[in-house]
Amino acid sequence: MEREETSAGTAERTAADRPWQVVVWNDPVNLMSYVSYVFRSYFGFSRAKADTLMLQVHQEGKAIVSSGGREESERHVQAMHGYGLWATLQHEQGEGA
Amino acid sequence: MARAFKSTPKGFVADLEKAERRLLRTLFKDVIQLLDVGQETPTGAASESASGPSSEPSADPFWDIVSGLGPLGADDASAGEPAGVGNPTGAGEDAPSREAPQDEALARLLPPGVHGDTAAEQAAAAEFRALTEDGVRRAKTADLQRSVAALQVNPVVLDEEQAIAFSRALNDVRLVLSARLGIDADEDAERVHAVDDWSAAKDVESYMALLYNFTTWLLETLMLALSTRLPD
Repeated sequence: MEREETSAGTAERTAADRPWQVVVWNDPVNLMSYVSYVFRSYFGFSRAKADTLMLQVHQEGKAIVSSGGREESERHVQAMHGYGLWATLQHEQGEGA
Repeated sequence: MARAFKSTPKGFVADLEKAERRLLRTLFKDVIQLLDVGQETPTGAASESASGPSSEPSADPFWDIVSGLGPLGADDASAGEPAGVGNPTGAGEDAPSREAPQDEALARLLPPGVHGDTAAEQAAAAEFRALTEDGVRRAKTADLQRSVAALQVNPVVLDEEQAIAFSRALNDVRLVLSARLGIDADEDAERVHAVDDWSAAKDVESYMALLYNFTTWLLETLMLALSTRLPD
């Protein structure tokens, strides 16, 4: 949240450290069983974790399903599109929406 | 009547009638064509003004459904382009951005990778699309082609990898049909789900709804079978 204004070095490191996130959005078409399976098989999540995230997508409209480096996150988003899920990439804290 | 996918020692097996396999093959092929027709996504808005909505019914009734019974904004000239496929570097000038497809179903198959309406977010989405869309198209086309091939014989037997590809292909068909059916909210999905009488299918919309429900049911059984193979 807070950025160290006094030290450029710290500010830089903070920005670089902000992870990239993969967000999956709700839609009325993708089946819960399908979304949960994709989370389990692609990300290797446990059934419990996959179901929790799937329900979060369904009930809250979206869920952050992974967090990490930019290239890795871009690959995940592309893979999710391959599965037909509406996934987007965002920089943590980058947008509040 | 079709029997659901089951997980067996031989793999994932479904017993489908000839007509059902043919129906699915046709739908898969039509989505392949849709992905191909939309291939030449203009970076400008040049194609918009071109021609009016002149939709002529083709020999393939499913194609009329999948293609939205109307113009896709791309004409035949672009459909014949063999470029693009397997050649990411030769895709015209190195465009740093690409517009979203105008066709609704294609847009559903190829969603934006960055969310938001600000200029910066839109630019990021366009850049992401330029970098990834061709790859997504190729992956989808490969899934669909494998699935067409898997439907040549009955029973349909898939190993795990083929089954996952088949699930993606079925889901893509559902995404296309959902766009044509205007499924934008859960209530729309329920309305479509209520259509279940093949003998009452008199118009295109109810026929599409039946296709949607059939592919949904088949996918649901496949996901159930697939999920038994994963560790908890």
